[in-house]
Formats: sequence, structure tokens, C-alpha cells
Amino acid sequence: MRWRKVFETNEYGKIDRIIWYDQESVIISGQGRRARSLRYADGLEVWQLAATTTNTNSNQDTVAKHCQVIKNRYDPGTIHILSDDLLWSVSSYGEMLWSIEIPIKSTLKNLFLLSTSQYVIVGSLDSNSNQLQVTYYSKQDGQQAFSSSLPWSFNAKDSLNKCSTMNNLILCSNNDELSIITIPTTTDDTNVKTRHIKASSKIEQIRILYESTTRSVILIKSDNGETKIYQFNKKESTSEWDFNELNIQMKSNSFISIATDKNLAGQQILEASANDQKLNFHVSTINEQTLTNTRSYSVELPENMGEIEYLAYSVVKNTQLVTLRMQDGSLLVIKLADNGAELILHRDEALSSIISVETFDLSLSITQMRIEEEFGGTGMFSMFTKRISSQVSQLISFFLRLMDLFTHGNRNRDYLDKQAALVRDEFNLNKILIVVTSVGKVFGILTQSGGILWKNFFPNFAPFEHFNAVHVPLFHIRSAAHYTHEPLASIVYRDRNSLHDTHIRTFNPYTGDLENNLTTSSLPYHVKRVFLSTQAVDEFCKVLLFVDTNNKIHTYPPVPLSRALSTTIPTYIYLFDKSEQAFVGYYLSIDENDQKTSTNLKEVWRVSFQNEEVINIHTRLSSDRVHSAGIVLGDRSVLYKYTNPNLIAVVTEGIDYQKVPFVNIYLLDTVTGSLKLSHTHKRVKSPVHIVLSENWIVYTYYNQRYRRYEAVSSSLFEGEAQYNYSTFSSFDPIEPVIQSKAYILPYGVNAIQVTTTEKGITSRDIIMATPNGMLIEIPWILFDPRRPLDLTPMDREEGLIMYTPEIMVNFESVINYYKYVYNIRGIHTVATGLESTSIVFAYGLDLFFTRVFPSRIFDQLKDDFDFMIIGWSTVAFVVGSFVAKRFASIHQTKKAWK
Amino acid sequence: MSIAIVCCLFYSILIIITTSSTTSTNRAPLYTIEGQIVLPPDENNLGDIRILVDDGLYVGIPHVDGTFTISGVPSGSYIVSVNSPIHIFEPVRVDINKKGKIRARAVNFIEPGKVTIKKYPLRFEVHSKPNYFQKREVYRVTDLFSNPLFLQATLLVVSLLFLPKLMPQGEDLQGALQQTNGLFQPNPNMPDITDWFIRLFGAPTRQRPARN
Repeated sequence: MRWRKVFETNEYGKIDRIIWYDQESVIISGQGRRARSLRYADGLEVWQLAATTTNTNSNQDTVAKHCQVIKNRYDPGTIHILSDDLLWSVSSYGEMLWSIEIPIKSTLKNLFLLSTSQYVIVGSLDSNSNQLQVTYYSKQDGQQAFSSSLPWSFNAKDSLNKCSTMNNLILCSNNDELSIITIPTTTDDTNVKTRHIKASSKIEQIRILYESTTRSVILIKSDNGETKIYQFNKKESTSEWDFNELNIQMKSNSFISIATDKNLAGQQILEASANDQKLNFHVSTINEQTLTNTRSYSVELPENMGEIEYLAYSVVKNTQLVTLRMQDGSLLVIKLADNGAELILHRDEALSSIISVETFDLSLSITQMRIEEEFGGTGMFSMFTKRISSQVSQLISFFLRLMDLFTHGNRNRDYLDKQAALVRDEFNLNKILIVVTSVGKVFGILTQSGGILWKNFFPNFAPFEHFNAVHVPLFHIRSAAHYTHEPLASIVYRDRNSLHDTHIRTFNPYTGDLENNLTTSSLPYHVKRVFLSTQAVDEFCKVLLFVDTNNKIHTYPPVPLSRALSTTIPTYIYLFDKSEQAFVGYYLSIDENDQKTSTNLKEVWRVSFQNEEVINIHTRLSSDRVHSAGIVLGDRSVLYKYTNPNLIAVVTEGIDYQKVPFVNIYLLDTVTGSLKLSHTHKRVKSPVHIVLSENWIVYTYYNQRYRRYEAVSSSLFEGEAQYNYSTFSSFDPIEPVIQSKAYILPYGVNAIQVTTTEKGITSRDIIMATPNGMLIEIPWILFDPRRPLDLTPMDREEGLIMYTPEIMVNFESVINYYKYVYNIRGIHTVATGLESTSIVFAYGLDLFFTRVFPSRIFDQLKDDFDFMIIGWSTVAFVVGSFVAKRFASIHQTKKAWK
Repeated sequence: MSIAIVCCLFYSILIIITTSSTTSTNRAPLYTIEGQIVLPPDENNLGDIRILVDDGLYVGIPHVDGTFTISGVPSGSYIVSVNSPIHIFEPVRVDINKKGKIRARAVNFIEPGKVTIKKYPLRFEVHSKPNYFQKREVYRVTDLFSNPLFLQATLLVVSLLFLPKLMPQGEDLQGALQQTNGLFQPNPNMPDITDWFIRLFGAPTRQRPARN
């Protein structure tokens, strides 16, 4: 990749159209509000222009904005942009030619933009009178020349989806009929001509394949799969067009693209279709009515990529290149040559749309497994024989390996390396990341290399909605701890076509192979929520529990609920009711002898929010460990933490009676429904990013009043005494003491997460992704709400830092160094076998993986630890002591003789 | 370039006049933030630089000469920061008032009301280079000398060597010194590792009579 420019993540950065020139391209973004030109050579900007005014009518925002961008065919250096109510023209060398406003109303919309050598024509639809007003503006200065109107017989609402413009034609489909409306191009001729093309069935799509001032080619696709291609030719010295159908036989799922080149005799038309793992191409030259010189190519794809979503065919310096975007987000470039088609580029662009991440430990190596087996067995004798036999087998395998090394040398080294990559290392640092993307492609990624181990594409995939985001539940059905059974992971997703249908796919995270026994596409209920059972059922497998729309709970695969859930600890489930903005808590009573696989839920509490909208919830990581129950204060007394595992953080947003926007943060106990913490922030803007861990919460927001990003940190304490030191219950009458502090952040926040370690002994660091591309590791003690305003010796004894409102970020705490990553949406942290080490995986547009050491490396030797010096000096000391002993004894003997 | 900006400003003025007199729809003018990035001549790599307005509300791309324009910005207060993995630039707050007057001032998060005017059009110069790495500790002999413990140890050794010679040859002191010397004498009762090794591996037995 030569260069890359990342635009805004908001609407302003969304690209509407790119117009390609020889040296640079003009990119129109933000719904026709900005035009910028980038050079091909280095990606630097040549010029940038934007609309000079904006509509501030707030009620306009609710209506979907509409924009059209056209390059003037008669003057290729001029671009006309119609952005809702603004019409402006720019030249390709960066000059704003003119900009005018065309008033719109709720009944009057500017829909079509056409251009001729003299005029820019805007077609505005008046839905009251069903008239299309056609207004002509001078191409030179934007002055309105004249206007006319014509009756409009199509539905005003979907006129935009069903119509296309081409030169001075508006093409509209109405059921099985295509109307071609010719807009006159000069003032003398005011006749609007309408002609029709009949299709065999309802027209689904009209696409313009090629457009020039004298010739155009369009494609009409009907819903019965029939595709027709029409060629338009301009009549001499008039504004009218002749058209004729091209005689071409096409498959229903094929895509068409047309390329023109100066060197080519005529135009070449490419028909492409995807068939399982194969792409078929047919290239022909367009003659008057027929196609000649048809050549067929086919290329084998490395994996299933679904249907074609986008196709572009171009001829660059006599090489025929086909660029495709597939349904799974893959970008393909295929070169067509005389000796066949060749795949020259394949990029998995789906990796930029990750929505769920889980990590799996790698499998134990054979020797590690034998060691595990060694300590199995019951009874003294069987344990003894097991031990002896496993140790003998270890010895044999050691000798076999030595033999192998001598006989084969390094020949099968590659194979061994590949095998070794999939085997757990000594400290369990390397893992497999399972990522699910929003297009339905699931990847298995090795963390040590970032290499993609396997990929699976589920074509009918649609994610679940989760507050204002999308998510796909991804579960560990069976972990890697059971070395005799392969691990299993499950994803649950909706059907793209019928959103009430739920699919479950279970696969082996090492290979991606589907486990067909645990894979289904038909659940007889509509799923509202899914979670994992607390207990393993058969063969160490956990089961999925579904709550359906009738508040009934089901298990998949169907097993009695008494086996899936603990019968000694009562089960509480919370659900969110979006229409009432309420959290509802349910109690699940399970009888030990009950064999039912589904049961109804009983409502026990309800927390509803009025005048505020719940925008997000945040739960703690399932791997969150609390090592110590309290903090030792400076005077040697203990302050006990309130570590309630049932807490969730709820973020709500609203506008108060003084029209001041506010954001509320709550900590909700999901067993009792009681609120343990509530904070209100006025004049504050979401997104609110939250970290909830141990007994504390840290969240960030944007303060509109002071125009800065702030973080609030709160800790919950039980106090000087602990209510129950062995177990925690939400029903215990504990009123937590809350301590809070707010801090100013130096940068904005895209995502935030806390490090995870195996036992939770290591101190915590907060990993923050900033919009400028950094991943910053900030120690939690900087966010500690107990940081004192004036430091007493007792605080110093405890290790507290004095409170300063600003959190200083040192560049040494940037963990991605020079590799800046943009538009990070989430951070995933996992514990490793080493207590000091936590794994960090940041995902978004870019992916970044590293290991962090929040309390430094306290359980490892440094990388540059010199084993040689230590080894040799030990040897030297031993030898030296022998020599010295000998000398000493000689010396003493001599002394005795004196 | 400058012609284009003048043009664009001219049109914006034109439009304000026309809109205020004719239509009832509320239209707000949009403005352009301009500036320049100055890099050291030997590191003229603009490819990695992004200009962020309010942490990505608007993103600018530098031109070949280091200048940049961010157009289509409504009036308000924005933080303009220049981001590069290899250079640090100080961010600037840009205020655009309702009339389109633009001023730049230093960013101060703690006292947002404080005004320290900066130059506009903006000029970003390299403030410093980010230091992402901690220096690795390497073993050097000079480190040994700079260690205070080492100084103490050398002082002790020196005093041990020279003090007995400087001391007056007092009888009681001599005894005391001998006692301290006794501290460094091997304790005959302590098990000795060499003996232990010899006993373990069965050293030649003829040594034993030789010693006695």
C-alpha cells in the first residue's frame, strides 16, 4: 500500500463520489458538502473546497439528506454538486465556480441533476401537485435561465430510488415499465418526450453502465432474474436519443461492467458471476446490436466469498483488470490475460468491521498432555504404573526426536514450526483470537504472528441490535482446558432476510470446522436474549440459554434446566424493555428433580427511566478477578472494597426542563434492582466510555461547557468492616460508601478498557484509544478517587499521589509507538499464564495487538538477561573455591610445620 | 490557491447578503480554517500527518507545501491539532465568531476562559519529538563508581587495609583487631562445602594424612 488517508468517522467523511482525473482525483464527501482533491503520487491534498453555507433548520435533519454529484460530460473539468438545497460547481483545479441555493420545502425536493454544455438542470419534485419543476441554471455563473414543469406520474416518495439520470434523460421504473423522459437542452425546444420500455416483470434495478455525450449503456434488472441491456445513441443535432436492446444472454446473478480505452477498437463488456468458489467472466466487444469476440475466463477463489457486490472493469495499458468487492468484504483484483485469469490481490477488508472478539488458549502439546495424564489415575498402583509408563514414553519420544533430527536435519522444520505455532507456549502467552465481523465472516487469528489461521463466511448473517450498536454473541462452549476434547465456540446471529430467525453456529476455534450437532438454523421461538449456562452439561460442554419474546427461557441443545443452571444459587436474569425504557429483573426457580427444558420467568423488580433514554449499558469483563478484599491504609487499618459482581453500568441521556442536555450514569444491581450509584452531568455529550472492574468505575465523556474531555472515577467501599468475608450476596444490607474524583483528559477517547491478569494481583492499567491514533496505557492509580488534595504522611505511606485535575500523559506510555491506529471501536484484554502480563487487542479500522506489563516485569527475566555471564561466573566460583581450598590447605600445612 | 479562497470568501459574503434579504430559512455561513505546518527541512515527510479539528470532527490533509485548509466549518470554538507519529505539535484553539472573524489562542484545559492569543493563519512548528521508549539499562563500569554503596564499600576496604598500620600499636587495640580478624577466619565448626564435596565424591584418601 502506497498511502492511506483516513477521513472523518462522521457523516462529513462519508464519500459520496470519487471523480478520477489523470493526476489526482476529486472526492466529494459529507453529502455533497465538501470536495477535496488528492494526488495519486503521495496522497497529499491539492485543494479543498466546501459549501459556504449550511441549513440550520433543525427539523431538516430528520429528513434524509440527498446529494447528487455529476461531472459535466461536455466539460470534464467541471463538477456539479447538488446537496439538498445547495447547488454548486467546482472546477477540477480547485476553483469554486459558483454556488447558489435552491429553496426547498417539505413538499418540494430537489431530486435530479443533469448537465448540458450550457446549462445545469435541476429537477425538483413538488409532491403537492405532482409536478416536476425543471429549472435551468447557466453553467457559467449559476444564474437561473428559465424553468418549466411537467406532470409527474410516479410515486413521490420512492422516486429517488427508482429513478436514475443520464445525460439529459431521466429514467424511472414503474412496475414493469421503464419510462425515459427526455429533458430538452435548449431554450427553443421545450418539448418533453416520454417513451417506454416494457419488461417482462417488475423492474428491480436500473444501472447506468456507461455514459458519454453521444452513447450510453444501461442495464435493467427485473425481479424474475431477467436482465436486459440497452444501448442509447444520440440523434444528430437534437437532444433526443435512440435506443436498442443488446442481444446478450445473462445469468440472473451476474454483474456487468463496461470499459473503454483509446487503444481499444470498441467498448468491452464484462459479465461476471460468482458460483460457489469460482468466478466466471465473459468479455465481449460491443458492436452495433450484438456482442462479438466473446472470451471466457474463470478463476478459482481460495474460499467462499458469497455474491459479487461491486464490479469494475478497466483496461490499463493493455492489461485487463477486474476489481471486485464481494459479499464478505473481500477486495479482489483479477488480471485477465491470454493464458487465463489470475487473482493478483485479495484483501480481507472485513477485518475492519469486527464486532465481537474472544480469545482461546492454544492446545497443550503432546508432552504437556502426557504430563497432565501422569497425575491422573486413582489408587497407588495405577498412579505408579501411569507415571512409569508416561515417563518411559517421554524418553522414547525424546530419542525418536533425536533420531529424526539426525536423519532428516532441517528438512521438515517448516512443518514442525507450523505445528509448534498451534501449541501452547510455556506461559500461555500466545492465543487464538476469534473475531466476528459485521458482514458475517469469522476469522481465527494467531496472536504471535497476526496470521489468519482460518476463515468462515456465513452468507445470511445479520447481527443483533444492542442499544445503539450491533453485536453478535460469541461464547466459549467448551474451553481448551479439557485436553481430551477439542474446544468449541458458538456464535448466535439473526437471518439477514427474516430477522426473527436465529442461527447458531458452533465451531472448533483451532480449525474453524463446524460442529454440526450443535449447529442449527431453526429455533422455534423469537430470541430476546442469549447467555451461557453456568454449568457444563455433557462432555464439558456448556449450553446456550435463550429468553424468548414471551419471557420463557429455553436451553439449546435441549437439556433440563436443572442441569444447566445451579440449583443451589438462585438465578436472576435482567432484560431491557426498550419501549418502556425499563430494566426488568426476573427470578428463575429451578427444581432439582425437574426435567423441563424451558420455563417461564417471574418478574421480581422493575427500574424504569422517565424523561431519559438509556443509550448504553456496560458489564464487567467475565474474567475480572479481585485479589484483595480491601486496601491497607496508612494507619494499618483496612478499608474493605464493595465488590458486587452483579453490578452493571447504565448510561442515560436526556434534556431537562431548562433545555440543558444531561447524561446520567447509574450502577444497577441486577439481582435486587437497586441503584448503588447515580451521577448526573449537565452540558455533557456522549459517547460515554466505561470501564467497570473490581470495586470501581471509570468513565469518560465530553464536557460541552468547558469544551474538554473528562473522566470520572468512583470507588465503592463497604467501610472499615466487612459484612460477610466469605461470600457476597446482593441481598446483604450494605450501603456502599462512594468516593469520586473527576479528571481532565488531554485527548479524546475512542475506546477504553482495563488490563486483565490471571489472579488480579498485578495493578490495573487503563488502555485508552485516542482519535489521533495512539493507544495509551495509564495506571489506574492516576484515576484513583482517593487521591488526596493535600498529601499527608499517611497517604504517602499508602502510596497515594496528590490530586491534580489533569492527567498527564507521557509518550512513554503510548503502547503502539510509531504505528498509529485509527478509528478504534473496542479493546479486548485477556490474562496470560504470567501474572505480570496482560494481552491487549485493539480493533476498529486498524487492528493492534501487544502485551502490557502494568506492574513491570516482576516474574520474568529481562530480554537481555545474560545467561552466559551468570553461568560462567558460577562455574568460575566453584572452580575458584576448589583451587583456593587447595592453596589454603597447603598454606595451613606449611604454617603447622613452622 | 489564494485566489480560490478569496473567491470562496467573496461568495460567502454574497450569499449572506442574499439569504438575509430573501428567504426565511435559517442559513448559517461556513468558514475555512487555514494554517501551515513547518517541518525541519531534512524531515519533510507530510504523508503521516493528519490535522484534526475537535478530535476528528473534521480531518485535514496537508498540501505539498505544508499548508492546509479545513473548509465547511460553522462558527464555534475548535481545537486544531496536528498529529504525526514522529513529531509533536502544540494544539491550538480556534474561535470563529458569528461574523466569521477567526482568532487562535493557546489551549488551556484547566482554565478554559484564559486567552493567550496566537497567530492566525495557524503556524505549527515541531515542538519536540515523542519519546516512546525507555532507555534500556546497560552495564557500564562508570555506573559502578557512581553507586554510593560502591563508595562505601571501597572506603571500608581502604580502612581495613590501612587502619591497622596507622593505628598506634596499643595492646588492647591489637587484641580488638585480632578479634575482628577472627570474624573473617573460617569457623572450624561450620560445614565446609569443599569438605562436603570431597566426602561426597570420595576424594583420594591420601590427602587426609598429609593434612594432619
